[in-house]
Amino acid sequence: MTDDVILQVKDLKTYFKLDEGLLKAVDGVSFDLRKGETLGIVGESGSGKSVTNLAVMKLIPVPPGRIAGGEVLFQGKDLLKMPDDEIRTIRGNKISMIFQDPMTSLNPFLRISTQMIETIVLHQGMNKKDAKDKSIEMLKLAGIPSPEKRIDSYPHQFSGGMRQRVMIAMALSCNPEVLIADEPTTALDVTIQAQILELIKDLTARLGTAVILITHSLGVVAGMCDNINVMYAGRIVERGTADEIFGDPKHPYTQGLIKSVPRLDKATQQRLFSIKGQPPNVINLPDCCPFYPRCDRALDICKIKYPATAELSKGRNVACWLYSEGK
Amino acid sequence: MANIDTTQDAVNEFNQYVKPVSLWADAWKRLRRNKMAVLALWVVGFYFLLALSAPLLQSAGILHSYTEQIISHQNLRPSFRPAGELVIESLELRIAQLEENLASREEDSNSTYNMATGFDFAPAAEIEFDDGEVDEGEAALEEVTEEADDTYYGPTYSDSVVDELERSKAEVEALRGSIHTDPQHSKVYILGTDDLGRDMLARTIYGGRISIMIGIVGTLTAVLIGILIGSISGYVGGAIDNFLMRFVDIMYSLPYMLVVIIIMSMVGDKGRGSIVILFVAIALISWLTISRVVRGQIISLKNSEFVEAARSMGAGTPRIIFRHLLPNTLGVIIVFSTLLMPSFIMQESFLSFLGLGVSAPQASWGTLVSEGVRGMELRAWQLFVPAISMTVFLFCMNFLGDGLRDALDPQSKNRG
Amino acid sequence: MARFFIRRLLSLVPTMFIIVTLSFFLIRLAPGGPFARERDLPEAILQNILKRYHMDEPLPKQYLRYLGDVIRWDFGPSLRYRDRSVNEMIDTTLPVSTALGLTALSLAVILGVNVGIVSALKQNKWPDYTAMSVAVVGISVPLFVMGPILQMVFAIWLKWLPPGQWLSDHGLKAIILPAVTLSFPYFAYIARLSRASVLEVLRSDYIRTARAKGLKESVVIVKHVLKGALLPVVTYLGPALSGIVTGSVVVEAVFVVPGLGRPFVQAAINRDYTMIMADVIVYSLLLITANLVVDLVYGLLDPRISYK
Ligand SMILES: Nc1ncnc2c1ncn2[C@@H]1O[C@H](COP(=O)(O)OP(=O)(O)OP(=O)(O)O)[C@@H](O)[C@H]1O
Ligand SMILES: [Mg+2]
Repeated sequence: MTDDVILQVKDLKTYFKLDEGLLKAVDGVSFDLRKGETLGIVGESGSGKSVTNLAVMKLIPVPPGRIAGGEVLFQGKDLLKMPDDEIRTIRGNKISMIFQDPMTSLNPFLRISTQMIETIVLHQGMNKKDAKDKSIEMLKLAGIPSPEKRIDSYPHQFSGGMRQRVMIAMALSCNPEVLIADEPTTALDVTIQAQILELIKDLTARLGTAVILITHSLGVVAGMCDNINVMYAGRIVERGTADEIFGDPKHPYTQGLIKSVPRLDKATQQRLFSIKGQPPNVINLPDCCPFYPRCDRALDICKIKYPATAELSKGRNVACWLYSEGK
Repeated sequence: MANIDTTQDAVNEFNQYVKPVSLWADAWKRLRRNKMAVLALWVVGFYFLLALSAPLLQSAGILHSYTEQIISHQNLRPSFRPAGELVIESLELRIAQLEENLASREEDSNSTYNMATGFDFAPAAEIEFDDGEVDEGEAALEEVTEEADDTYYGPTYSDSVVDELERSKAEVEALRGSIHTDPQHSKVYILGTDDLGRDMLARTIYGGRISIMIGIVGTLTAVLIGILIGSISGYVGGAIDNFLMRFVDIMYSLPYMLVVIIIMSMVGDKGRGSIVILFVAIALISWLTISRVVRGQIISLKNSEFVEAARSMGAGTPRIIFRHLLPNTLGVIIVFSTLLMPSFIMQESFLSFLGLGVSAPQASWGTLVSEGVRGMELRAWQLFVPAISMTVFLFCMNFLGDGLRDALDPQSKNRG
Repeated sequence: MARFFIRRLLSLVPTMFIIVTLSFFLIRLAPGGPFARERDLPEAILQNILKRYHMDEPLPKQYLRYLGDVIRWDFGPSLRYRDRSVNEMIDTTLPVSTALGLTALSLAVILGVNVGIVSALKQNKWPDYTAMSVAVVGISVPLFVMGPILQMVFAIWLKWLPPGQWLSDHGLKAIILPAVTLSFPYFAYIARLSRASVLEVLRSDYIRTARAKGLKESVVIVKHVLKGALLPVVTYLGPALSGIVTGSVVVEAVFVVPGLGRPFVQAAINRDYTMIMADVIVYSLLLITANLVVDLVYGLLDPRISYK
């Protein structure tokens, strides 16, 4: 069954040691990613989505950060136990990333060509000339008009959407097995957002790349993802296929999220729903369900203990006292 | 259901400490955690207190006068013993030395080496600078040669040794007689005396008083001018802004001290040495940076959303500026001022060192250091006492400034 | 780029003009004069002297005459040192000050940048703490305290280096102590500055991207971090040079260096008009050109700046 799983995250924990105390940014996250699958990770700001994925690549700044436990198995090998030079052959090559803010993610002092070529030369062993041709080809695929002219520009000569296209071209230039896209559209205009998402979907389908798509909003993942993980305060609170999550959300938090997505089919004049209160600060969080102060259906036990994850069916989990103990 | 604590530390549902809302309370908390900064704060406080209370201490008799010259107490080293004893001791040492000298001279009558002179190492420039000043009064038009001071290099008088021996012996006798009757001789100079017999402790404290005062007044003036010019420039914009900033640019490209030196030379002999002029000279130039900071803040504020919002709600623009600008810029200004003050003190002492700063009887740390440099090989305390006092203060101000910056801008330290 | 350079070069002219004019009138309008000290001078002789220096003419006329001289790079005779022209004094002293200043500046930049980078890479480890403590000392100890102390330790106690006297007597060794003293505060400042900016760049998003691409840490530092991190240091070169120019006045006094500083201070004390003016012109020309060079270098390093 696990033969088509290429990335397996098991009980991953990442803590930050801050002046105020221990911040458990990611506290026991597990998920599988299959070949060619698109997996969505959804959650509010600060829920630990980015940290999870940086930890997968072992890119957490140490200190203050620390990967406190867990395994990340890529093609059967634990990335977290790999020596640095070995994991470097995977970063940017087998697993690559796109970040949230295209305005700051490219080095402003280097030409686009320099930045693209160095990755290809490093991982594919091409000479510079071939690497440049490959870069131009990738830029063309990513929808940059007349790339052979623009490849020698500096990042500031591109618009935000263009820069994100460059990032995508760069990330896919080594035919990675996995693409981690961390909120690739949050910093862009709505019209550009759709184009970029479409581009990612298109290119990865063509190259057979598995994608982890991180986002704030369920709206984005709806049309893109096969499976969805919902994160809250450093843990995955619910998982399932896109149909299951949208059709039958179990966790009160997921239900809240779905209600807060603006929907065209139910064109009511109603005000948009939003979950009351603020996401918790995860520093020195006691053992309880971190969602209970915002939850309408909170039980007494929610304040005392974190719920165990209940498996409702194969690949369909929820961590909530409402569903524990066969309820 | 949230059990908000009545103490300042609020707590939320998870019994977690909730950050104080106020930036200042937060910054204060962070500053207190920085041990070096807290130590620096205490030291700076101590200096301020000492500087403020110096006249009180003096009238209470705890501190000696900083101007009183007791010639017989020249160049006493730091000690807890009364001055009389030290003087006798050093005279006796001198007598022994002179006797030895006499003896050796009888052995080798060719020797012209003059032990009797107190010449010690001093960089030649110092001597020449002295000349410049000493000569000033009598400098005749035609005579501008820079010959060395001949009090030191005089020829050896064979009699002078004998003379001095006699004199010293008589002095010791006289002192022995009066040591218990004359209250002067029971004075204790913890940090020694200078070459005019003045108490180094008192001089250093008074020197600090002047230096710190210059630092504070200079900083205040610079900050006020800077805020004024910066806000006019940023707020009015257009040609005025252009003009002011061009001016600032030009001033920036001039070496700062050079301008001060020119101003000091402009005011001539009468004005030079006056502390007020020194303030004006230094402050006139040091508002440049702060005006740029304030201007930048104003311009970014002018275009910011909340000012737009406030304006659309009918608030007058000056009001907005003062309501929002100052709180937004205060942090920067405070940090800047803490770092500006030591630089003022350094500049003033720099001028005093060159003989262009405060003049006698007043003395700043810079004056004291430059006096100390002259005899530093034999009387190191005259250099080290003011030099260390000054350095410790500057050190602490810099630490405090760094601590404040880290506290007010946590981004710069806590992450990464 | 070339056009920008020429335009900036041309803008030197009005700036220098303003500086010359302002200082000329400021210095002249102040009460007292270079001969005010010689009180007993008979009136007739004073008039004679004034005449010799054209100081009996109306001020505007003097100003125009001076302007004409300056354009021909003629600063006139010194009012104080009768038999020497100001040009002569500048010709002999300026190379000395320049040598000292450039040595100090290079020391400060090379050492400062390297120490700053190492500090940042070893953040919160002992090399960082050591370097930054030294740097705070460097910033807090005034030159005229540092100078005599170094002199005492290395020249008088250890006798490793000459205490003063310039090249003629001791060769290149003589430049070490003054240059080290002069560079110390700027070394300290540059070390702190480059440490802070390396740390800031290390936190930036594009460095995270570089690491996510699988680049070696050394490549990340050299290729991606340094260029951006050193820009603030380049910006600081202007102010540093201006500080070194003034600092060298004190250092030259402490170490008996026959540079421009001493005649300048003497001129200020004696109100030697022509000498003061010449110093102002030379110093400002030096600094303004230096700032121009700094701007150009900055433009070459930062592709976001375009000169139009
Ligand atoms: N370098 C760091 N130092 C300290 N704390 C950090 C660091 N990086 C992340 N954190 C903390 O970890 C927690 C999770 O952050 P993370 O960036 O994963 O959130 P996120 O879900 O990606 O949010 P967003 O949607 O805003 O990107 C946050 O509380 C954040 O403050
Ligand atoms: Mg994120």
